[in-house]
Amino acid sequence: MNILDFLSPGRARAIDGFHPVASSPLEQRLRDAGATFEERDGWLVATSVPHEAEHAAACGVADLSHLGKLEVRGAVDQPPGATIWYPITPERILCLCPPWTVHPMIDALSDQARLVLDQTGQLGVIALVGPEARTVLRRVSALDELPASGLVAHVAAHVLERQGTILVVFGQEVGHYLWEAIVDAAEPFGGGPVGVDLLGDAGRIE
Amino acid sequence: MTFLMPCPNCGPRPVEEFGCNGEIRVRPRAKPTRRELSDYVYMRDNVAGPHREWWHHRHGCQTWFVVERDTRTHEVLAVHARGAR
Amino acid sequence: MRLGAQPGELLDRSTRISFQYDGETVEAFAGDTIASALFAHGRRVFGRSFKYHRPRGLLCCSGHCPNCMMVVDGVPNVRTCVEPVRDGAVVKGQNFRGSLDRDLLQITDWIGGPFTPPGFYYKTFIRPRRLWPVYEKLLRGLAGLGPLPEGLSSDPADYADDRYDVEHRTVETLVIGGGRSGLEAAIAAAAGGGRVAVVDEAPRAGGSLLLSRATMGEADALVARARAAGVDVLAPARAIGLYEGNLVPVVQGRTMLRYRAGAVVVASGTMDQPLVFPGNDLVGVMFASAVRRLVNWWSLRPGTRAVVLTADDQGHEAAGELAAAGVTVARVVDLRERPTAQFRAKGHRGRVYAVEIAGEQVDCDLVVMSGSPQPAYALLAQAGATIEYDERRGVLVPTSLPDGVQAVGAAAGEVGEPAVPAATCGSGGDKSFVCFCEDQGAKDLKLAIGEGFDSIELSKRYTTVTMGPCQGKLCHLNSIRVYAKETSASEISVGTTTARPPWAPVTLGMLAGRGHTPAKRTSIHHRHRAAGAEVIWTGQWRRPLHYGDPAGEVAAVHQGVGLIDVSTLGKILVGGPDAVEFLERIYPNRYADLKVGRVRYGVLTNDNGRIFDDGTVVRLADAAFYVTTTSTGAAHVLHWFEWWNEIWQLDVEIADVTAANAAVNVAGPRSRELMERLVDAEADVSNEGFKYLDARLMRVAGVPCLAIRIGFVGELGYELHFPSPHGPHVWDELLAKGADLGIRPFGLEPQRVLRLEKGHVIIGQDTDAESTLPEASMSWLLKYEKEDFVGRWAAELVQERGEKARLVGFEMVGDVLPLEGAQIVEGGRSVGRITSVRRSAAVGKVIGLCWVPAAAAREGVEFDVKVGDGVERGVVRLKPFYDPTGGRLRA
Repeated sequence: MNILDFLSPGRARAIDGFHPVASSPLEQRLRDAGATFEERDGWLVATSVPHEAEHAAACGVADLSHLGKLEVRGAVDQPPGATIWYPITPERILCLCPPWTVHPMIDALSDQARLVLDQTGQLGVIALVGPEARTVLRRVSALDELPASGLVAHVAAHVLERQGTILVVFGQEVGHYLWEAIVDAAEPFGGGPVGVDLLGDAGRIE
Repeated sequence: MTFLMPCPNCGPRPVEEFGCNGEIRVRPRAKPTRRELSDYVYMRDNVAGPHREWWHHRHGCQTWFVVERDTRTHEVLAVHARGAR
Repeated sequence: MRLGAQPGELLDRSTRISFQYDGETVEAFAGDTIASALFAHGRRVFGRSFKYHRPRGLLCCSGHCPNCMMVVDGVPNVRTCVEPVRDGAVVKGQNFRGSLDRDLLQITDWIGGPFTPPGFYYKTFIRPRRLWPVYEKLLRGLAGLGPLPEGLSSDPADYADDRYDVEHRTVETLVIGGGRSGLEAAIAAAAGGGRVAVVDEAPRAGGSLLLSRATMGEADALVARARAAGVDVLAPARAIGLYEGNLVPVVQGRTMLRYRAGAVVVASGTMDQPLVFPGNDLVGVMFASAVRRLVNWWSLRPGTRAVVLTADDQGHEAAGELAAAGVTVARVVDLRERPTAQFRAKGHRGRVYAVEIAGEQVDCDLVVMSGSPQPAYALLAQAGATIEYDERRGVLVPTSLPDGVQAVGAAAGEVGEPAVPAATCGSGGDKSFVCFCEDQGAKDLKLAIGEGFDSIELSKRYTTVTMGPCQGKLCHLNSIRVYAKETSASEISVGTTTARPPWAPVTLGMLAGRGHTPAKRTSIHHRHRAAGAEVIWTGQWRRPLHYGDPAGEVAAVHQGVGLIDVSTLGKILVGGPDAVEFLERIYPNRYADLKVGRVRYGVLTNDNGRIFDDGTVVRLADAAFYVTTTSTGAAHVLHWFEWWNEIWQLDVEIADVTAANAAVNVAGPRSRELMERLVDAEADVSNEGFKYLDARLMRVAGVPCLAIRIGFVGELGYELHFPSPHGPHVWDELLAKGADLGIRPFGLEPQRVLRLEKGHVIIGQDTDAESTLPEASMSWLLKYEKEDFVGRWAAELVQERGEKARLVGFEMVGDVLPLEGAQIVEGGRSVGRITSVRRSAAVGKVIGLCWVPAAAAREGVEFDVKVGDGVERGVVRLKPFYDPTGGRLRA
């Protein structure tokens, strides 16, 4: 094993014929919402949620915590396949990519970067979609121009935007709380939880 | 306090996103006398006026930087990012 | 009372609404406020004053004065003059015994005067002293205004649907006040591009243009023009403060809009001011603007015969509109023509029936007063504007503004050339009120000045003028004038009192918002819940205290194997060419000689020499270290590392991986057996291949782990760090594969017992902000052979001056369990304290850690511990209570 493999959920291997399945920090919240789960790329993913179409007509709130996330240190150019490349500072970059591309990406970047850290387990991702997504974000955060890093519902987060979908990226340990706060903010508009399939391409970030 | 702090990386942002580490004190280079040590660890100038202090964009980009701030008005007179990482 | 349909009225006569007032049904139209409907229904008394319980009627009709506050659907202190009617609402009066019309407490008005001067609590009710509790109970019962509804629940869940929201908005320009000046400023700002919003506290934007039927159309046209220019016009939406950085909280319904604006334009217009004359609070005395709203907005006839007393044009405009509405205007007194006019109002049962003007009595049932048009400067003053008295026009005006804030229109001081009314226009007869909220008259202010409260700020605190519900809107200017007159000073030298937010009352619910509490949970949290754990807060973390049987959990660790979730530990990667140098400087002990694959305990101190955190450091590679911290200190240590490196500028990468990894401690004599069942075939977990204080990379249940052999709980154990998304999987596998080994999950309480048996310290529990390494019995961590490290000089100083106290283990002689924090006493004096104490089944004693005087820190020294009213004996023990040689740890 590489010395930093113990940070990478993608480095788990099958044992006794069973592959360990990774859980999102928001799994219990989606179970509470009645979500249907499916195993994808080693993750248990909430694919659909009851009433998701009605929710999405206002503001759909989805769990994309299974996306690959890397922190790249150094002045590095965006490589192909790094779907979201957000320089938090000029030399500290947050990269989001499909889960199966995490390790090829680490390998590709390690020559140029001072450090490439797999943050897939460290960070959770909540996506907001629908006509009221921006208003719901304003109900929990003063962040205006995106992407930006700052407070969302009183906890530190990065807020990104891609093709009209807002992505809130946060330390996974506050995931339950943040999900509760964001779903609660969406409620007066008729918004609520949705599964990843409803997001279509926006949810796959390929 | 609701003033905006100009983060050298993110631009002006609400002050609640930041941490302040207080007045800048220079650490003695060699073993200090008791008086010098006590001055360094305990004494602060606590000026009413321009004041150099450490700030940190704690809930944002995490950058540490030095701010010159007027303690009477919260006017930020200058910002210096050292590492710029 | 209600006139026929009028052009421009706010009423929708096709929609009828009814509500309950005091058991009666009141009919209203859509567009009415509760007060306008009650007025139409014939009600004239709307409230009872604070101290004297005088009847009070409508005065401002704009939500500023205290007169019309009632209880609406259980909510007290609702200003009914701006509260829209709604079907089925239940409205009641407040602050009376009996009824609004016959209040028994009005006795304080008739006989209470001499007993209720300013500061009467401390004057009238001070003797005899022993009766104060009785007085206090009585006074508390009488004080305050509206009552809280009965049967309120203390459980927030009962109000979950009663929501208030916060919404953040960013604009280039925010205009406060939607009158002509405000709307024009907004249109101009929008022409320059960028987002522009206008907020107005009135039911609709238009400001004073709406007061007259002639200009209502102009208001609507301006609003339409602004909207067409892209301006967001919000009404009713009230800005309640103007804070640093142009943060403006705006209350709109049940949402607090937190505006951040590049520029704020204050166009808040003017505040009507009362004239100070005897009887100026009688029912039937109203502001000119109030009368105009009643006539033009709600088509009401405010009286039958009116007298107008005015300092500006507004009184004349009101007089014309009253005449058109069929009111006889008996007299108009223009103070610009008769600046020294003296008058007093006469009342019967609290209602005005005549005004005496220079000795001549004019009968009337309505007195229209228009004092000075005072610019509404409060928000400007909050922002730091200078406010000064303008002697020529007799009002307070802003004279300099902070950057990013502008004032336009009347708020900026454009109020024409009004008369400057005398501080008091008349004498004798009834009380002349300066402050309607707190029932303070001109006489009370004179008394306060006579008693030495001769500065306006002192007087404010003594008399409470400007401190009532209107917060000075109606009384500030007049109190300054009375002060100037009584102290023979100029108004300019009297100065002003400080304007503070909020500009208008705001509910606590609005300030609280949604009230979610940020909480951190580990990725295994729901497994603990399912296992019946009692979950507690430790810092922001939610953690299991135990799983129902703390003693059984301790026993499982000693006899079989136990499992605790320690994912909350802070975790930091330190890597790069200067990583060793960095750790050598930041820790008191050495890391240069730490071998790859080994772990070492470390304590962090600041340059004061004080301990603030501890943890372990694993050397992953020559230039890569994995540092753990305490659970609650994680963020602080990360910032501490980053801050020092900002100073040192070493070539080192510091990365927080606290949430990236879950961590569990597998501990107990059978933990190796369990590990053998779960690790990959190539992993060696034998005592030879994986020694105490070794760290190894291996797969556990298929998941990549950093396994660290350490023993906080005193038994053979492995701390496993692995990707947090696999937390539930690894946890489940450990429990399943360990079932026949007697495995049990254990919580914080059993962990605390186990570590005390070993004498292990918890930073923050057994140490505080005064604890140094020598005194905490950790001198062995100080490696003075290093050139320097943070905290070195202070530690040296402590050792030079001698230790004052020491942290040591102890056991109780008897079986009594003292409280944590119990004092260690000597000759009746406190000389130390217990920081941790538990009853240990394994040791068979009550054991703990305590601070004792340094001289007493010797094996076997006995001391007294305060328990209840008496003392119990304790004995210092310097060795671990359990497994003192560490044989079990190394087994």
